[in-house]
Amino acid sequence: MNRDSLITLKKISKRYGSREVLSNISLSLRQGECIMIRGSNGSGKSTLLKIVAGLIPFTAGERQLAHAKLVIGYAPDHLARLRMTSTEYLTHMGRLSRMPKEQLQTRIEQLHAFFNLEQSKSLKMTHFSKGMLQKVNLMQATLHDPELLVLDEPLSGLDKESVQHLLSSLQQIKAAGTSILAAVHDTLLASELGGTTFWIKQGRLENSNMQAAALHSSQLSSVAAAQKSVEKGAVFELLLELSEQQLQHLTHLFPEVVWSKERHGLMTAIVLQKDYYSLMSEMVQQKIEMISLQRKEVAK
Amino acid sequence: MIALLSYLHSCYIRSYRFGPPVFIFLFGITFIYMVVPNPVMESYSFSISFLFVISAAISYSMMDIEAPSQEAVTMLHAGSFIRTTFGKLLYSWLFTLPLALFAVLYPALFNKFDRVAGLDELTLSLLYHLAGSWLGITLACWFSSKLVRSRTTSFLSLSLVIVVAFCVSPLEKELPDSLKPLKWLLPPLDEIIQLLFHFEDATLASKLLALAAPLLYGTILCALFLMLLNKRRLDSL
Repeated sequence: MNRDSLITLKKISKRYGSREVLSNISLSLRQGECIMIRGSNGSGKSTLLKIVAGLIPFTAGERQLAHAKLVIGYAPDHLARLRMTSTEYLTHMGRLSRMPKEQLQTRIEQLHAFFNLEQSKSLKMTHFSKGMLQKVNLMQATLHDPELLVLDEPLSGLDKESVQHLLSSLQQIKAAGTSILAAVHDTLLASELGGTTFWIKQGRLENSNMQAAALHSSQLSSVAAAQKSVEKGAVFELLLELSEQQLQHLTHLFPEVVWSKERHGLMTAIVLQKDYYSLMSEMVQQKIEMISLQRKEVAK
Repeated sequence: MIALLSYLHSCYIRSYRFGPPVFIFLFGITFIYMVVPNPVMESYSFSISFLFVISAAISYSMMDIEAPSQEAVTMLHAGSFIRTTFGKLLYSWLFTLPLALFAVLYPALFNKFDRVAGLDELTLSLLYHLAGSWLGITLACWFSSKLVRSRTTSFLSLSLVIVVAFCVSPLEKELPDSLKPLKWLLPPLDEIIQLLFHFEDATLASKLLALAAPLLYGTILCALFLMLLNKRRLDSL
């Protein structure tokens, strides 16, 4: 474990029966660091977050904490609409955490002011909008001034105004030195909070910044169009069904395309914008079947 | 633990899930005692059986009182999954205390018996009621969504176990001698019921055994349940 790390995961695997959700995940989070986890639905993001928060056991590997009393705040992807006010709810959660009564009351007042929910603190949570509930979710997670904040898709389903307010709140929390580990679907949180972005693909963790850096360095030795592509920050991920000969042909024509094998004999190609149109045209000529196409923003 | 019990009380009372079992119990007890006079201990054996079923229903709804996401939050704040789960079982048991008191005191105070019940009978009856409710609670927790995903399967399985708990003596008679010790694996509700039907002739040891058996059986069930859930934590959700 690194000396500065708050939490370190070493070769963590998680199986549900015969299905391996996470495989050999190694991750380390230092104080004040911000890590975003991205991936498609069911890729294992929430499972990883629950393992980090200590909510579920893992099948293999090791989870090390900086110290035994590490304060972890966890905000699930949604909070249930309880038949109580946000003040009552936070009081219950604070008392469960054995916070002193006066300190708890002060903290609840502070959090209502911080998240701009002062007007609604006497309203039952059953009447709250999704944005308001998400704020209460973050309030309970930060009730104890956590050293590590674990957030499961904190911005999902929120309107623009709520997103802006939550983003600025999270920026302030991060500025106060809290480490943040968040599962996200889009790039917004990553771009606003900075830090490192990882992808979970088929249970494995991939550093998208390293991937982007690799692509970027190969582009630097290439033509100016490639630089433009990186500036735009777009890559395309194609899932293809193609023969060995077709693969060799395309590899020869497009040396900068990154190939990886998928299940059922399929191949994934990560393509820069400069190669995208010519690759597509070549694929049509070669009658290569495309299973899916996804445009991805590369974190800069 | 008081903070946890207070939180669970808020959740349970505001969910109104207590309504059907409490109403059925209170209505059932007052209805049964509409006809007077009644034998003392035999009547209590009925109310213990009734409370056993109602306690199972309370525990069944209490174990799933929180949404999975909230359960994760509660666990992190409370710092222990065992504590939060045990808190739910303890709260369910405490919730049955006023019901047990009602079942014991209502017929005694409103002259529903054929004679005046003694203080020792009332005290022992209250303890038997609480032992029966503890047994119902610890049996039902095994059929919550934490261990059985399908609501239909869990409800039918729990109903079957409750029926079996009432049929231990007839089942024992049907079993061959070599399998008769298997009786000790079944819920010992029958111990209380049989004892109350022959209360006058029962020795102190048998009275205490009838009290200890369901308490001990329930405590073992509770310990095994907590050990299993602690291993799985929130994996079951």
